[in-house]
Amino acid sequence: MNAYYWPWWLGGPLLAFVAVLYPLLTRAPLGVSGALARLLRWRTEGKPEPSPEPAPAANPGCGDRPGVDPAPAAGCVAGPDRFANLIFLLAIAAGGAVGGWWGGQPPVTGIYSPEFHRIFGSGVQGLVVLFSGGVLVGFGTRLSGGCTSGHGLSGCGRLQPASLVATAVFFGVAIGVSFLLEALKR
Amino acid sequence: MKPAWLRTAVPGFLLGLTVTRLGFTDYAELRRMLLFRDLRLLLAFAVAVVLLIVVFAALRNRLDLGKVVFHRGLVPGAFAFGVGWAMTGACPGVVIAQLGMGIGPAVVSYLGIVVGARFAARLRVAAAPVYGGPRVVGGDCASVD
Repeated sequence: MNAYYWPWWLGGPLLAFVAVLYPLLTRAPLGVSGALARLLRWRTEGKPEPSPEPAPAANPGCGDRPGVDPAPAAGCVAGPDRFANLIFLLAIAAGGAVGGWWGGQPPVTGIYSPEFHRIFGSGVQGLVVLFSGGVLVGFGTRLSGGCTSGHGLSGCGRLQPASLVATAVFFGVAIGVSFLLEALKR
Repeated sequence: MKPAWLRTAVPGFLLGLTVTRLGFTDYAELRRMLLFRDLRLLLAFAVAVVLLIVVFAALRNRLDLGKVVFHRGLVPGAFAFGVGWAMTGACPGVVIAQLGMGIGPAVVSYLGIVVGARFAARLRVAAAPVYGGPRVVGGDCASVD
């Protein structure tokens, strides 16, 4: 149906390759929302927030205290350090830039997607939807502890029951909301 | 691999390139997947997961990535993510790739993600494992990423 984008038999194995390469190089599972969160903590390093629960001595936290990168507690896996996280996110953007250029897309555009603007309008209304949707994504992935890469690839790939449940929920809900939007827009 | 920054730079670049050239960054393509009008993206994801199951099983003695814990935030968080994902097409990696592609409005969804993640971080007591976890309260152990 679509000759513009890569076929599934090329893109699927590449996604799997990345999800294996990342932990082989860093000893931590691939997950973009986690990398983003670790970077956010870096940004708040100057003013640590009060901890809502007393830190159990046996559980120093997996890098969860702002400004502190303690050794991981038993059973936890420490992520890459903050500089490595920053490089990771910048590299994703660089990959996006090369991918856009490869696809012959303009280097800068103010249009999100014609399909998006068809559903939600283009002006301020569209931006409000983008922002509130973004809040749901940021909040949801952090609360759930993973996103499409963390739960979907790293977690499902290791057949972790919690990740299988989370992936089924976010995929199912996204499918339901998409059909709902389609019904409302018809 | 030396220098050390290449350890995250190489997978990051490949991830950004792959999601972009697969079309995960294209809202119309994502909707075609979620409405089952085009199974290409769904197949790509499924193939990736199946390959990963095989490879991670083969590497299980060499690569210990811990367990993913059931916690109270797991399902509500995944629910909120699903709604936001279907609305905007923004999953965290995709938005960063979109920023690299120069898609201006992605700045707005990125800001939303930062605000939402910040809010969830304040509520992190909500992510306390319910059972099965090595830890008692909160922390990144509840997180797979």
